[in-house]
Amino acid sequence: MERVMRDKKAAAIFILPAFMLFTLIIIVPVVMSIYYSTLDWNGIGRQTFIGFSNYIELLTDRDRFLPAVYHTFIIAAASVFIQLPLALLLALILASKVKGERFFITVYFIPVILSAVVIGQLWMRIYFPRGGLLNTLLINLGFMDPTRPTAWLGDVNTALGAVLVPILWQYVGYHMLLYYSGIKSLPPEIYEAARIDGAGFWQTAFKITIPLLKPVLQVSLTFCVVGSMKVFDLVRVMLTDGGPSGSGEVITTLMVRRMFYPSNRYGYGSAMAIILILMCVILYQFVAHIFRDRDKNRKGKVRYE
Amino acid sequence: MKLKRVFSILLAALMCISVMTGCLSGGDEGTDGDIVLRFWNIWGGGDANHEAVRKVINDFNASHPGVRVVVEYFENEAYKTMIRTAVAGDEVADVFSTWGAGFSRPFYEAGKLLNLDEYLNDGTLDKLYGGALNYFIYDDSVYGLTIGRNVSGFFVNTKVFEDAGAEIPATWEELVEASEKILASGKIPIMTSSRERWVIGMLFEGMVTKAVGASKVNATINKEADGGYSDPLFLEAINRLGELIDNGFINSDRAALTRDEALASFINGDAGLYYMGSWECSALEDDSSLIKGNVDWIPFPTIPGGKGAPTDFNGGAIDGLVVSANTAHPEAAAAFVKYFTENLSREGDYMPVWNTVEIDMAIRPAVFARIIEATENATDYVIWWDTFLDGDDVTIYQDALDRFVNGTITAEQFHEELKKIHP
Repeated sequence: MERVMRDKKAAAIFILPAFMLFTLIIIVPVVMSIYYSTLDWNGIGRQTFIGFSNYIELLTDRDRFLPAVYHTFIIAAASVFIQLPLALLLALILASKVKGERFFITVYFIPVILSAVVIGQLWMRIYFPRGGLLNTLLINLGFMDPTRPTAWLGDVNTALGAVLVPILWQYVGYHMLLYYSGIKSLPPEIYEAARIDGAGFWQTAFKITIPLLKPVLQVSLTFCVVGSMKVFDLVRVMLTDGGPSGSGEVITTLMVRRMFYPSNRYGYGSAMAIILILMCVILYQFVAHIFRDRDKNRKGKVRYE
Repeated sequence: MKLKRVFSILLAALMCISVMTGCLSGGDEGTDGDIVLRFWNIWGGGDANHEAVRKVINDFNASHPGVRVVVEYFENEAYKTMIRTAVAGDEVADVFSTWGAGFSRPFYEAGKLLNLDEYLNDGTLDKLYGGALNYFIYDDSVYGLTIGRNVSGFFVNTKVFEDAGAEIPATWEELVEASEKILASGKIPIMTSSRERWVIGMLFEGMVTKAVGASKVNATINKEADGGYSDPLFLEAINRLGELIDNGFINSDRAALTRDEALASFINGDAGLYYMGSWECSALEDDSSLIKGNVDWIPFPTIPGGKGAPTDFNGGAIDGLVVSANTAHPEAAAAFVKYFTENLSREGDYMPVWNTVEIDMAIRPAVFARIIEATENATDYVIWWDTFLDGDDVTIYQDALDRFVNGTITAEQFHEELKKIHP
């Protein structure tokens, strides 16, 4: 094996197919997009080179783009601080040998396999202003004036929050499954020792499970943050054109409407895509950085690998 | 593993559903050697014109041996996005439905549309009413044929009006009075959707026509020198829209409703008025409609001090078919476009632009006849702005309208935005 690895020619030949594929599928489109982002172009007709004008226009667009970035970060923050802890809690409970473990895993995982369109339609029924599930409940409990039902998805103040709930709800099961399988792969001896030493549920969770789960946490956090940056489907289904006054607009929904119908500004939309890619890369590095630092601090201490 | 089986069954069920709703292709299997024309359009299963479209295509296939039309249907809003990508990538069908004027101009400018001039000299032009092709003429050549004219206006639920003791309005004062009565009776005076901006846009454009006058609006959206949004009457129309909203005459959940949901609510009998294009007739008079037989139609009422005549309408013949410049069978494609557009006006909800077509009122919904009658003496038409204007301008207009109806900008700010399009 070592001999093969030393042979640079052989290595190059073996790498070549994957390298070509990667270049063709990832590198070329990104480079093309960078090029498009410097154009004034409607996607079909004449292309005019305009340098960084698209970027300057984007970064000074206080009406639409900057709010969209802000909303995207709100979704990311909510995912990290609400969705992940919830998923971790569920995983901890399920992994502690509760009755019906398998059943609950299935239940929590079902939203993950449902298509976003189905989930969007489902939650639109729940939020429906006249006779929707949520408003009917609130009216019957006396929390809402029946003559003035809230249009959750149609109110500037509630649209983003209303669309955030199903986004969090959908992927709780996904992260829970990641954590659950991570916990299940930890050696049972450690837990036995902890139990003999008299550690309770929370102590075990914070002193043993979570520290040992770090590699899984890193993966999950990365998926969560990058996924939030790219969120599109549920927002599109539930708010169509970015919600009332753009109050639920995220980067991707704005990008699609600027790139295609009605704006037809392919170059401008491409610039948005490039900014989105940069944001994803930076956040990915940031997450990796957080975990790398912890690694260094713990050097020398006993770690389970 | 039971779990796995449950998952796979769920997944399989989901796939079946998406396949079933995804592709329903019409047309029969033809013999080899037939010319196959691919045809994309937006009149799929849920559309009022679906049955008529299917019938016309089947008739064409039956009466034109050697040519076979294969259809794919798309959802309206998604189609507006995907059609541009398909045209740009030269992957579009031989014949496809589109909108004239601003929407298809990029296609024309990029040379993606077939010039139909030479196929129309067989007497076809004489069979069309004057001006019928206006929106498909680019640089003096015809690039598409329209499937017919549409008019927008208020559909009226006469039962809601009767129950509230309200009169069907012809003027602004009467509209306000009727709205107050309907509101008092527990119903919604005017139903619309602002979640899909073009829907409330139509209502607003109807008001603008009555405030500013059709000829001035046309000059404005055409960006002619004697037009311009600076005219204070535009602001007047904006203020009137604000008045309808502030008084609760327009459904307060408009921003949460899609067009379909607004329509469903109107069909359910929740509202007195619903502003929409005439293509909706069949849906309102369908057997499943709860308001069948109680539907009337009026144009937007006149506005005090407004320059729009009662006979100034919004609408036009801007929906149509074009042929891809890359088609391998231009002759057959052009023949199909001619056949389809002429015959669909016989069957569908569009008002014919062909003088060869007699409308058979017996098979039309009653309210359709009312629209024909009401628009007989039309003085002028204004086309929907969102299909006529260029992309950038549509964005400015719709974004500002959206902000205004949601109360985040004032009427004056909305007016300022419009002036950016054409002062």
